[in-house]
Amino acid sequence: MNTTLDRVNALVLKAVPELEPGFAPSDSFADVLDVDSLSVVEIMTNVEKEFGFDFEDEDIAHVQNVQDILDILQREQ
Amino acid sequence: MSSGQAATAVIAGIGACLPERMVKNEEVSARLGLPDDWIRDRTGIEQRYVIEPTGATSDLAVGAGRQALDSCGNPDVDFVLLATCTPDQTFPATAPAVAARLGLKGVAAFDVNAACSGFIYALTIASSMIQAGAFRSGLVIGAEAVTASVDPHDQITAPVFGDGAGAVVLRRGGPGEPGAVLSQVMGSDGDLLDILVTPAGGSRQRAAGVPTDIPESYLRMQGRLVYKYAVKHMTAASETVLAQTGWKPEDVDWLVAHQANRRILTATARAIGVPAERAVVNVDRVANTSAASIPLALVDAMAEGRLSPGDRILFCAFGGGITWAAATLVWPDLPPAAAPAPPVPAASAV
Repeated sequence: MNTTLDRVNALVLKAVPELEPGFAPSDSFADVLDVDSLSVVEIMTNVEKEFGFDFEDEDIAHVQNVQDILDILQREQ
Repeated sequence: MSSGQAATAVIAGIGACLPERMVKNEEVSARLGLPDDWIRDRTGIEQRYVIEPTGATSDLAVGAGRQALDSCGNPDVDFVLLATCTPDQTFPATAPAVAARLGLKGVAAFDVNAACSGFIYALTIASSMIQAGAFRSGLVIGAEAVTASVDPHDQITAPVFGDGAGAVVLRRGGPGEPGAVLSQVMGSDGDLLDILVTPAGGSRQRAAGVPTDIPESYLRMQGRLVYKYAVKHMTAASETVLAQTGWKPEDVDWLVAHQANRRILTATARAIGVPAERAVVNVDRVANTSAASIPLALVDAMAEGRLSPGDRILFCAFGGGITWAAATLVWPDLPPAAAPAPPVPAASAV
């Protein structure tokens, strides 16, 4: 069974296909993975569709890595 | 608004103006300490035109306005609308000076500030003024010296913006005549003003006695939220005007959207359902020129032979405020577009 982490990682790779799999939840999108800000929005839009909720604007502005997304998902569920 | 049997306002002429100084990505990247391909990979932008420090928005507006008027035999016009969020000064409006320098002293002239949505806003207002019967013709200009309010060392805004102007002449036309706005929508959400704002210089944060190079005097952009709301509102506004016009996405020959960056253009086209190859793109050559971007894109598309009389055009835009707008029209038969004119400095204006 896919964990939430697996599902989020898959959504990251869907938005940024050139990314090497195997990144860590704590890896910074901007500083470590070189994912630009508009790709972060695409990742978050993918997460919204998959998990059926809308991020707050504050979340969209401040998410730095996959762990931040997991924390918000836990808060929402 | 629908074409119906009422009088229409049709595009009779078009013009553009770009500063003479073109700045390639390499120069901006070096200043910001970024790899050479960083800007292109993230924005699709390759270069931008930057006005000289002694230049102003009105110089670009006069250049584009003059060319638009000349393109259709220099007709009499009854008003000048200038869409800009970078006026020559906060008071008074820049449009009267532009009108006077174009030899149009005496006509109605005012600025429209809807930021990057400004050209569609101004086109809609101008069309309504002519359709209402009070005016026969008008000049609509989108002109911006955005780089004058951009921090050259800000990694978020410095790569993205450029300067320029575009203009159209509108004249009264008959029912169903090509070149008239068929349907339009304009909207705003002031709760989101902070996502794209120049904080200082107005009455909220006053400029008197304050150095001009404080951070608050520069344009600030929250890129992630601008991207989210730009795609959302341009898509919804486009769907509204398509429904009002009775067109399906596949009926659109050209999507001429505000040239913010290539990613927003692609995402918006996909969300509306217009194939990417039907989206006019010139953000690679001129960057984001705010209210000037749609007429500059039209002139570029004409120069490349992509616009034909009878083509069904969808405009959409999103900008600070926040504001958004969309419109449809059928492209008229215009003379070939000239290459964008150079700015006209105030001293030599005609």
